[in-house]
Amino acid sequence: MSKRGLLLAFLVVGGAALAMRMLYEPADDVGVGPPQLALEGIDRLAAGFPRPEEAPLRMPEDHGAKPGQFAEYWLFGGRVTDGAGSVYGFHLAFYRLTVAEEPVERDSAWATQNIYQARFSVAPVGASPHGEERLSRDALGLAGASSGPTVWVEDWRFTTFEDGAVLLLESGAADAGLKLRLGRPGEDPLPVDSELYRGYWWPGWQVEGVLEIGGESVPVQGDAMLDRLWGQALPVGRGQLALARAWLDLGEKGVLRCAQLRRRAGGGTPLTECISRPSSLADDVVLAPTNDGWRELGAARYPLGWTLDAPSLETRRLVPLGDPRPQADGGWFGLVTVGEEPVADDASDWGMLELSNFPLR
Amino acid sequence: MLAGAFTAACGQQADAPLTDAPLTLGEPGVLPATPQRSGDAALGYEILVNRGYVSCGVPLDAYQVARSGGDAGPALPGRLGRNAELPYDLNATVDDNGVELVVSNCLACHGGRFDGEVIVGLGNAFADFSMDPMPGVERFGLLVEDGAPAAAWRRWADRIGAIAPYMQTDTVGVNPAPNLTMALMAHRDPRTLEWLEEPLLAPPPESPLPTAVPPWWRMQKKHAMFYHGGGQGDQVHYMMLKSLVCTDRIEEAQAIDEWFAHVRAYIVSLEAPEWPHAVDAELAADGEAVFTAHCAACHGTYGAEWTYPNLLVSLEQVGTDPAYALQAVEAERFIRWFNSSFYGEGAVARPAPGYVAPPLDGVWATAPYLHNDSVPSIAALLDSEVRPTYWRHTSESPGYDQATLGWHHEVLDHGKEGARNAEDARTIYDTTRHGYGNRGHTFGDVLSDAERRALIEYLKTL
Repeated sequence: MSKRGLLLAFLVVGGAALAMRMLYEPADDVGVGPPQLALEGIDRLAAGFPRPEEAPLRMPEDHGAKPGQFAEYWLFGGRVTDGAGSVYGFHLAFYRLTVAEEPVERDSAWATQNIYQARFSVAPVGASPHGEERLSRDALGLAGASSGPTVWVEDWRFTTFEDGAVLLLESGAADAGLKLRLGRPGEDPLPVDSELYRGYWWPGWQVEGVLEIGGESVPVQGDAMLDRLWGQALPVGRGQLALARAWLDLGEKGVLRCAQLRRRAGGGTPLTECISRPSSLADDVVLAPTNDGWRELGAARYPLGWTLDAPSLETRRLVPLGDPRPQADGGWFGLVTVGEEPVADDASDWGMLELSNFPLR
Repeated sequence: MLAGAFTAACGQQADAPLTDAPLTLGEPGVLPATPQRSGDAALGYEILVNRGYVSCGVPLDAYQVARSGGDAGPALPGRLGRNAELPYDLNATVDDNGVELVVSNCLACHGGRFDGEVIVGLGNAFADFSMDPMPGVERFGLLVEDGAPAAAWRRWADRIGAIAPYMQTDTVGVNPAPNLTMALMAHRDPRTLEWLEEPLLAPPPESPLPTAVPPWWRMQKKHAMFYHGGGQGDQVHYMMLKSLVCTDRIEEAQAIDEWFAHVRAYIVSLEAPEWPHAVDAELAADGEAVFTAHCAACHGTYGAEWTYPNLLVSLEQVGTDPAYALQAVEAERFIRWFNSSFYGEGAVARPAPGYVAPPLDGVWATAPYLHNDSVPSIAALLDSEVRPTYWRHTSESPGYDQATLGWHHEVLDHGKEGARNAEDARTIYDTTRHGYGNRGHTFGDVLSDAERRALIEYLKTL
């Protein structure tokens, strides 16, 4: 936190940075020394890594791994339709977290400096999603990220071809899978800048491929977006604050990516930061949970319904496209439809919604 | 000390259950002396830089994570225990639930720097109140765990949230303390000091008028506090208004009252710093003659046999921007709040439509000048023709100009409307804006250039 920030904070009034929390199921043979099991340990470890450099984006290089950074992720989400017009949502995400400051020198092939988490889902509209989460390590070729770039966790992967013009996503589980080819959008990615992380959001990828659902192969096509961050910390709710992030394709109006911190216990002043194309779309955005949009899922309450207000938009509502369950880390992620009266068809606006650290019931 | 209360309160009369007895406002003329409490100056300093007279703040654990690896900056002597690890403008305390807190102290505003050195009592002319404080306040919540620390953070954040709309200035360097004090009054029952989520009084305007933070060492000569002279009676009760942020009970206020009798004793023991450079004694002697002829009647005389008239000068006579004084006398509901509260016991708020001609001890250190910091140097103060309409300091900590007695600044040909962006605009002092005017106090215009040079040399000796 800067001196100026602290001064503001205490002159009766600062700027603590967005903290991070990553899913980490410890194993007893990860890394050297005491395993970094507690958040405090992760904080201490992260503090030893550099903040990301302020450099212009470079494609396709920035799709590739950033091994000098403490953490990074690649998040793909999309809305596709099959030949009969049925709508599906999908997502595939890879997270890397450093668990040892230096490369591990230990007489074990399992020794690792990084762990990887990945998850994917395929969701027919209105139905529970099919999917899975995995955790692995960059040892024995189990998981990794190359400057190729290719990122993989076991047999799930995304690979870049044709100088970044084409991305291939592949993942599969017992009852679902996806193999999708993404074609590069005509417009450039939107840069994401923060004190602790950097990256880009790139909506508008054209999707074509196959979803596997319940043993059936479904050819599909549609749209997808990629959110990619790296840095000393990644945005996540923590402590007394929950974090909601929304990535919205608003059709002719443009594209809008917002992050909002709000108190878990209610009250206070929600903090909303947005980027958009056109840039004016992000001005004075008000993003708020609807009163009837709260759902009790497992041990927590999640605001799954939201309203979006902005000077250049009619009021829009965000509702889940499918019926996703909470993730193992207590967060929630899903595709949403967006509209004045949102309906899930291939003509509606759509996006992604991620919630973390929302309150226990 | 939240200087200059009872200003900026034009607007609707609230549905306040306070007395509607006629108010007595101050008038231009000599301000009367009133007896003041004695205290232990050394103990006052110890309290000032170590104790939790502001009783809400950030849980220490969260603060330490946020500050991890950060430089605490210059240190002050006499900082005890945890305080010694904190920046000089923060104190450590423990709340009723045993949560260690980091809280603000008086020095964020009253601990300015000169040539890199912190001078306790010098107004901070570079503090930045032009940013919305709430993003920083709320983000601390990321670092606060459940239970008592969370309750402590919420309490602090809610208080700041209540006053944040009233404390954001449009220019870096000027101080919003009067406005935020009135916002705090609006949320408190004056008799019990209970915090009220819904304000009891109509809040002050959301655009605070700019004020300069006066130096503490002048207090030993002053009969009344604040530029409008309205802080009359027991000065302790004005100095402790800083604690209004979090003091919710009379018993807590009484304890702070005892502390601040000593703090006041410390404040009135302070002497102005000495000019740190060479002085042309012959030229200064010429300047003293100019001062005696043109300035002393209002600002007093100096040296071993000093005099100070405690004169409140009418707005018509001084001619400086009237907005601050006029709003003070119109702030009826806040005057009533103060006078009927714990703080009004032994003190009476009596602002006047005018400005106090201050003592000028150490005046060379107190740029910018006038009650609203609108004039960047003594040289410009003494020649109204050269006062810049638009200006800004050359950096966040500019060098000092020994010739003009002011911080290095640049004169601009445009105001905020011509700024490159919002951040640039915040650094521009635009004297055409309401309350930011630099007119008046033209008494130096009759002087020759030689007389002004001599007078400036003399002012270095005060």
